[in-house]
Amino acid sequence: MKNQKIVDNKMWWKRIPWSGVVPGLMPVLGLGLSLSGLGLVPGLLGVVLGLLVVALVVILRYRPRTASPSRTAHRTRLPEQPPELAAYLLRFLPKKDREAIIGDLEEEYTIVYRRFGLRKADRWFYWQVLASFWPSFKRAIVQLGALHWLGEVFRRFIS
Amino acid sequence: MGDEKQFLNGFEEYVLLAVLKLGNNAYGVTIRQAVEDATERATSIGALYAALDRLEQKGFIRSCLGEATPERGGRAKKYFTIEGAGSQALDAAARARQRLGGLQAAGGVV
Repeated sequence: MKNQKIVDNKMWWKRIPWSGVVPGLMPVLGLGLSLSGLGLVPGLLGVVLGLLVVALVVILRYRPRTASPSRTAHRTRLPEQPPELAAYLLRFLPKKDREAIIGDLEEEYTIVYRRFGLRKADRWFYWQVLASFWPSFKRAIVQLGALHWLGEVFRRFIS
Repeated sequence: MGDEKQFLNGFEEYVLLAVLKLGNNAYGVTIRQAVEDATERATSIGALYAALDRLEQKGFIRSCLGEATPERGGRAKKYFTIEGAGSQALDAAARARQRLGGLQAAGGVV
């Protein structure tokens, strides 16, 4: 029964109504684009801050207390399971390779956990999660830069 | 000049060689280990999959989903196999390196 509860908490993101959250991100992008009139950096900051606020609201609203990836995380987690917050962040990877990447990281997490223990395995997993976002982040920055440049060209064209 | 699309960068070449070496067991974990062992440098899974995507778009490799295992949280492995174009690209890269090696020797650097 206790294990069942842990498994339910582990899948807490499945309870999030994504169909409501995704349209909610549009004002964030709108805010970023409107701030981009002041320059690329304020625009990007607007988007990043807006996304952080949305992520915080979603996490605080839907994430159960027992699934906290804090110092007591190992007590609520099943053995050889990666940290839940990091595993949750992987849901935001591009859909194409998401399942394969999550599977690969979980498989390697088990190896690292058996060899080096929980603390090092968790640190390794968080680092891998951050690193796995880097290519997508870099592409998004380039695309935003291109969008900003196009907006600038358009603004000069109509003025 | 050769087609830009068929050009292999250094990391893509390592990944392609790893896929070739691993044969039927080439998926994310094993490819990353092979590349890390060969280069003695850490490789992020994101960078690896970005390179694999580029190679697939160029037609050098193809992917297929394999079996799901419990240690992967029930998720399927994505296996990669090298295509004929991939082997040709590796040959071309090796030839270019040989030619450049010849130039280097002729220049008295080596």
